[in-house]
Amino acid sequence: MNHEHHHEPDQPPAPVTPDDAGSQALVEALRSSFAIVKIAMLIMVVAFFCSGFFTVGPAEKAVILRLGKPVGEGPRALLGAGLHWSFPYPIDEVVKIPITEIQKVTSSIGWYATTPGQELSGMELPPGASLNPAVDGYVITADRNIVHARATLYFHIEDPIRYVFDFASASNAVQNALNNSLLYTAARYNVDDILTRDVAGFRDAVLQRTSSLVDQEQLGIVIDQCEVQSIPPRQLQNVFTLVTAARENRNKVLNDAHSYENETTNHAGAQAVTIINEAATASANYVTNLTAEAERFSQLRPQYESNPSLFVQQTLVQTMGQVLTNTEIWIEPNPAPGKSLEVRLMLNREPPQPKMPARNP
Amino acid sequence: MDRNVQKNGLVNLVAAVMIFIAAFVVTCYVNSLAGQGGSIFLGLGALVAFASWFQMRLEENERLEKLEVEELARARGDTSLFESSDAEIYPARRARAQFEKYFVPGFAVLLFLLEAGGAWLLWRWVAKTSNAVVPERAMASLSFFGIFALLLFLLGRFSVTIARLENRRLLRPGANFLLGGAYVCFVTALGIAGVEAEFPRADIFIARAFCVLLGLMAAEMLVTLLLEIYRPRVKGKVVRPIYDSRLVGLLAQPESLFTTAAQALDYQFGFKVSETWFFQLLKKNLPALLLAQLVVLLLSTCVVFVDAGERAVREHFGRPGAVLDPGAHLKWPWPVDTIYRYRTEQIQTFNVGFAPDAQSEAIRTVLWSVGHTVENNFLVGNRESVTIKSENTKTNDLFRAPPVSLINVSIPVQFQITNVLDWAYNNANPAGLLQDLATREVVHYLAGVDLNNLLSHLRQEAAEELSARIQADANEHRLGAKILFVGLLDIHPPVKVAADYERVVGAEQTKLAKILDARAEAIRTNALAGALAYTTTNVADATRQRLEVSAFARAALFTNQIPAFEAAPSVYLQRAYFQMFVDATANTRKYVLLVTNTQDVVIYDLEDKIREDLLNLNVPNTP
Amino acid sequence: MKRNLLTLVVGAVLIVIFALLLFLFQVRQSEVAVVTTFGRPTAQPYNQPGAYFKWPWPIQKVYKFDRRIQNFQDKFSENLTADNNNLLTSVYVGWRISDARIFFPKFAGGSVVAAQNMLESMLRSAKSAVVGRHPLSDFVNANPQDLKFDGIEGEIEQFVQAELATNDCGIQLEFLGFKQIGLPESVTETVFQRMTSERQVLINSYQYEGEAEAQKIRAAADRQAAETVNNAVAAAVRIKGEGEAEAAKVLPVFQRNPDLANYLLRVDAIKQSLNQRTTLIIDERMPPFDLFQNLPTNKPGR
Repeated sequence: MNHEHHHEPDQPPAPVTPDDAGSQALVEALRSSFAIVKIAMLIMVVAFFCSGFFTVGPAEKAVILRLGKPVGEGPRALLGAGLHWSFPYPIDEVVKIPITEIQKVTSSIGWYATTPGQELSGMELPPGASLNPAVDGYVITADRNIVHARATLYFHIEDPIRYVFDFASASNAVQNALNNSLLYTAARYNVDDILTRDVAGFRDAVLQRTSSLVDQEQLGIVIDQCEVQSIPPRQLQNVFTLVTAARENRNKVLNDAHSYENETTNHAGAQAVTIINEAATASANYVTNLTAEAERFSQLRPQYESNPSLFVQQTLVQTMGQVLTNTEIWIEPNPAPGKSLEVRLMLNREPPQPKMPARNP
Repeated sequence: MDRNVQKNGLVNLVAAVMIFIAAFVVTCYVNSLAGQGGSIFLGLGALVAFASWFQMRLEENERLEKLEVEELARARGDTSLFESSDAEIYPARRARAQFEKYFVPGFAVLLFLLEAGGAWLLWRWVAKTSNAVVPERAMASLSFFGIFALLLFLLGRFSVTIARLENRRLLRPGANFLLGGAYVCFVTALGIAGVEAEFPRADIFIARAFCVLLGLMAAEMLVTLLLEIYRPRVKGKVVRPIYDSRLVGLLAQPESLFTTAAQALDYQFGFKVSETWFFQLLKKNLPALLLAQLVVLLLSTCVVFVDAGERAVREHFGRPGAVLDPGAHLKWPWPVDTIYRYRTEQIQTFNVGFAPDAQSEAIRTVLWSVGHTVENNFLVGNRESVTIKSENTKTNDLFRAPPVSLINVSIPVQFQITNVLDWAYNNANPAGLLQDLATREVVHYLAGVDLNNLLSHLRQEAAEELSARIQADANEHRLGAKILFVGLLDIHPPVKVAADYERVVGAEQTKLAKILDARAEAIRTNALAGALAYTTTNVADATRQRLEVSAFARAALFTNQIPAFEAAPSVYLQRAYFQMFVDATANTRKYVLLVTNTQDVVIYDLEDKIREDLLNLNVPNTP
Repeated sequence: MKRNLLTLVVGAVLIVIFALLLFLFQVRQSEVAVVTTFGRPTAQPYNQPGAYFKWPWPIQKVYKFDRRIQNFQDKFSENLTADNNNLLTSVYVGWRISDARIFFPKFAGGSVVAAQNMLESMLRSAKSAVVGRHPLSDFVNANPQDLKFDGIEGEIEQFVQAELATNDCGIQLEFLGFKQIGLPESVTETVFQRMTSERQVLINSYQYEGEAEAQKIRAAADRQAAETVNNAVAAAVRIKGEGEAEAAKVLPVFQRNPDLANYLLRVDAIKQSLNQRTTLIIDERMPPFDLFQNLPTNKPGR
């Protein structure tokens, strides 16, 4: 056909096909692998352009660096939450910065050698006789004592561009500022203040110095909270506990003394009142009795003065009558005249009374 | 003719074997390293000659067999003369085919292994050994190698020409190896001669060249083996034996470079590459091209790029000239002008007093009591902190021990080259000289300073002083260097002594501890004593008060009793007496004897009926 | 044809990309770049981020440096203070490349590691010099006026800044501070001893002073009680005296007939004392028992 003839010269001359089966197979393999390579390239190009989509989380902001420079100036450079598109690398680069998320940094000096796992499980290595400065950390206090202190700082990023693009490792800078504050504050406070008496003051001082350092270095963060934990060296733990025990014991002893004081005073007061009351009563009784006696005397005197011996006899007999009602009476008969009577009295001792047992207070 | 060829091959083989053995003996005799390489080469040649001779015989057998078969077929009048491909009828052909199919590649692999192994072993041995050519035997070995070279050359040339003229492809390998062996022997002789002529490195150099040659041959064999798989098998083409190394052929016949290349390309691709225009052009103008390339290379040395932080000194025929700044510069080509580069702006460092190593650099804590590098002890002056009264005042001052101490220092010195010409041309080893000067200054300075001052507050002055002194020395020697910074990193007493320094501080703490212990005791004693004193005082106070008050009260009572008494004296007394009488006797046992008519005898039984302590037993109240 | 067009387009794109790679370079926000032409640095370092044009190698070559503030700390090393105390200190700094064009040739290829090595030497040298000038009480002190912590940090910083400025390295210190302070191991042991003794002083003061205090309180209480009782006894006696004074008014009555008074007293005394536990042995002659003398009895008459 005509068109066939037309087509024939257009076709390139057929390549020399060697009659070797191996070579033919090789050519086939190459052709098919080229096809696969073409498809793979197409897929890569599409994926390349689609890689420009990215999402920004709610607690993040993102900065697009177009050809190295941030897109937009100042706060407008920060992209909020949502889906965004940028040119793929190498034209655009997306840097995500966690902004409201609270970051946490812990001081790296000042605590003895341990791992979080060991601390949680309580299986820490027992302390040696001293602290090896290569692995154990501690701070020196103003009165040259050694304590372990650990601070945790919670902050969030306020100026993300400065935080990410002006510092190679800003969290390290924050950590170092925290370390320095811990050192400095510990060097100003005495050990008792740090451990027990002024814990809040110590923490506030650490926070203050960290804040001032952070502002001075313009790290672009805002501090939310600071926690400080300090313990005496483990080797001296029991001695420090003894101090607390001694202080509490002293309070108890003093309290006991005060209560003894109260008791004794009250007791003495009561006793005093009793004594006085008894005396008053006795005195009043005495006077009353005496007055009554005086009355009786006045009454009986005329009787007596009229006939004294009779009066005496009368009263004596009366008295005897009264007395004899309560007494034991032994009446001796008269002896025969001329004979004398012998009375023999055998008198025993009064049986001694047992002592009353002492009243236990 | 064929018989001749075979005979030729046999002659080649015998010659190769004999000369190989002889060459090896002479090599051992004269202890030449190059000769070792040459011996390997000759040995390989012998093997190749053997293989090709064997193959020639097989082909010869096949040819004879074919003739016989033809004769037989003609005699029988069979039409299917040449069609029979029954392999069993042609044992010789089969033998040859199998030889070509199995033995030849295997033999090629063996050759490859031998070449590679030989190259590598020889290289290692050359690097390790320090054997030198025995001088007295050099002349004899020279003559031997010369004879070998001559023999091999004659034989090889003859065989190569025959092979080319009659197109005996099987003769060619052995012939090439023979001819190559001739050149190898000649070069070995040159090596020995070179050693004789006061170039001791010549032998080693040639031995290494042989290693390279063997390595190249091994590589070529490997490539040939690999490409053999992919070569299109065109019908009618004669198969070239694999072990026929083109490299050796090239070595043997350098003038046929192009034909070899063309043949190789043709052979490999299966069509006439050598007919293309590019190839023809290249072939025609190759020398010109080569020359052009050389010229370009030479011209490229005219342009110099000096990097930032460097300076370069241009030497015109060896005479130092200008100093070149960073950038691009033009100069005369190589032999006329040469360039030497020096890092000038870069800060260079060396250390006095210690040699840092990677392990010690990785340690993050530097303690005086832990040694971290090789310690060098420096002498330093020491005003005695402890004076000892010497009883013997007649001692001569010269014999009194001077006060010295030892310290270790780590002093890095940083400098820059400011004047390149001075640095490069005034001293043979400027860096070493500077280091020595610095060490000298450090020793000098340390010997004149007091240890304790240095350890505490003299450091800054020491650093500045050292810097000034080293700079002055460098200027004096015209080194052209500027000392930037001398740092006194670690100045501490030797490790053995460091513990005692720390013990001083520890002793102070122990002292404080003891004082505090005493204070604790004092607190205890004082507190208890104070309390005791207070208690005693209070008790006495109470007693005093009691006496006082009761005395006053009794006085008041008595004062009141006087008027009462005076009001009725006898009554008062009697009353008081009887009151007391009644109170006292109220509870007692009373016996009143009112008898008047008896004689009274009263017997008192005053025995204690019950023991006192039994009566006072405290029986506990147990329910 | 179509196949050719596609390959042509792809080829063109590849060429464009290749050209961009060769002729263009980016400077990131956190970077600064120095471009050398045939090895000579160009006049201006590229401080501002963005994309710039350059000739390909070997005409021009780009070196990029991180211009952010780097953190670096030196080794925890031991020094002697002015009062012969061994103190271990470690210092952290924030430094950055202030002028890349000066920095680049000074350290081989602008290597940050080489710069940090130099910085470490300077830091340690400055640190040991400054530490040696201050006694330990400048480092730890309860009195804020005497604590020279900030001053020491400032001195070290000045020292290093001066060195860097003199040598013109293209490096600038942003901040410097102490990271860690410690004592050698053997010294901590003795410090523990001292701390234990200090605690013991506190323990003793709490314990024994408390006891002494308690004893004093008890003694005072006892005295107080005794005084109260004594006072009461004295008051009782006085009250008794007042009763006597009252009695003195009544007693003159008795004086009108003292015998009767005494007799009556005696009678009363007998009544009261012989009220209990008495045994009387009387004979018949005593009245009224003399009545029994002449009673008729079974007895034969006398």
